[in-house]
Amino acid sequence: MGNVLSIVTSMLVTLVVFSQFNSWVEAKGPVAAVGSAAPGFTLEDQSGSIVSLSDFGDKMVVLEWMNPDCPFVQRHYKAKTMTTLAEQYGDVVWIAINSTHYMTKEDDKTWVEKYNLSYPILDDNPGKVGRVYGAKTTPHMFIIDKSGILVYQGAIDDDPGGSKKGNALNYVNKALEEIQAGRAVTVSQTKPYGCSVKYAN
Amino acid sequence: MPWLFVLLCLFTFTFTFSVRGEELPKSVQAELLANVAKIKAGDAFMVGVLLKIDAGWHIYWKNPGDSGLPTSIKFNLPDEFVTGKLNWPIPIKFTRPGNIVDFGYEDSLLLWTVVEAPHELNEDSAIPVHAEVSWLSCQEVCIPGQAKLELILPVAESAEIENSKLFSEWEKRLAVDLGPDTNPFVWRVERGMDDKKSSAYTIFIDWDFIPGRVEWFPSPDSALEIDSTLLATEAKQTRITFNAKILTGQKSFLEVLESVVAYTDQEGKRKGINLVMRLNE
Repeated sequence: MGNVLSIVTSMLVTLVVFSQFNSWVEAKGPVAAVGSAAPGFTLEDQSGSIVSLSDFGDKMVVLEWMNPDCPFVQRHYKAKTMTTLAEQYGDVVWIAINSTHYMTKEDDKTWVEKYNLSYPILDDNPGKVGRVYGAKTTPHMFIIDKSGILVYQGAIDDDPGGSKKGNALNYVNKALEEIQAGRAVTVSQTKPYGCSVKYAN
Repeated sequence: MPWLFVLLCLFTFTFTFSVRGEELPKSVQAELLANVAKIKAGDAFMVGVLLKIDAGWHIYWKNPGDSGLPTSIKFNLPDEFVTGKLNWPIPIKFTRPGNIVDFGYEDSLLLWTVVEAPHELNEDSAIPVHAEVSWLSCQEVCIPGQAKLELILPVAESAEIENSKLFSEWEKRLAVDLGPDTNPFVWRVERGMDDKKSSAYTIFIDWDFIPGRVEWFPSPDSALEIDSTLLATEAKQTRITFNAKILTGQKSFLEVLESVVAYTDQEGKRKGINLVMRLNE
């Protein structure tokens, strides 16, 4: 009886400490900020391969938060918005991240195959990396320059309703163009639009 | 019974396929209504779209918050009719894991406008009223929706009132402006420390009574981002602090931030006040 009691007590203590730690992390807020070093991460992609931000030391990296169940993401993939950009900027590392709590690597794999993606989808279903970056919507875009600094975060373009079609201003394209031309990013933050990232409780 | 097995497989396949997003269920029904059955020349009347939202789903306010898409309506009447602004009832907050806060509605929503009929109208005519509505309805997943609605209203010597209970119920759900007479509070804004990226503000609200569940709903224009909002009410004072930053590269002629302060009054009724504040002090 004493053994059970001490096990239960230590479990309770662990639970309390853990939940306090989690809420401390939440209360502190996201770590990513434009102008500062992008937070590192290590996640598995849809095939289980390990991908770390530090793998891409001297390259530009685009992070794309996505969710196959979100109509904004579905619209962009049908219109090839992200895939066209990823192809156009060949030396930029394009990484999609799925922080949807109920999704698995199988779901990510299905999406990769459906759209024949040349870039991976990283499995962040516990939502830790999403929260550190402050990813709020799908899509939500982050651009990291060659020295590891976050230089853009926000919407993919200026057309949440999808009514501008070909005439939308694509913020990621604009930023990548400027970086490649050696210029500063003029629009470094915009309000992201999309479905809310479906984090775990 | 192999056919039963096949049937079961088909059912499962169809169900999974449809939930996965190929055939999306409709979660919102839209209906175009007026508060008159007949239009009288020179009179003002109301037209609105009543949106009925399935349980567990919600749609968005004019400022959806961190995610989502605002509900939008375009009313179309013949040229001689003057259409007013869209009336937005007081929204509610949806807070999700990851500190995502959205503003919107559940159950049902009436969005309406006041229309002025011209003084000259052919008595034998009928007036077509059109509305194009679009919304984003979210639960665990989000489903965009739209509707093109039409209502034909005949012209008559005297207007016939219709749906008056519905329209007056929803009118009570609007936030009101502060007036010259009795207001539930007095307020002021203080500007705090600026860093190069944003300006901090504090709104002080001093109430006449102890308010219930005070909430703040900002509606900034697209070039302005409001974040780090904190609201605390102690006895008869509410303090709302927030950061306002003009998004880089955006032009903003903004000097004014509109918002709604929602509260529960002493009779337990949900009310709202429209605040308009100058940001460039």
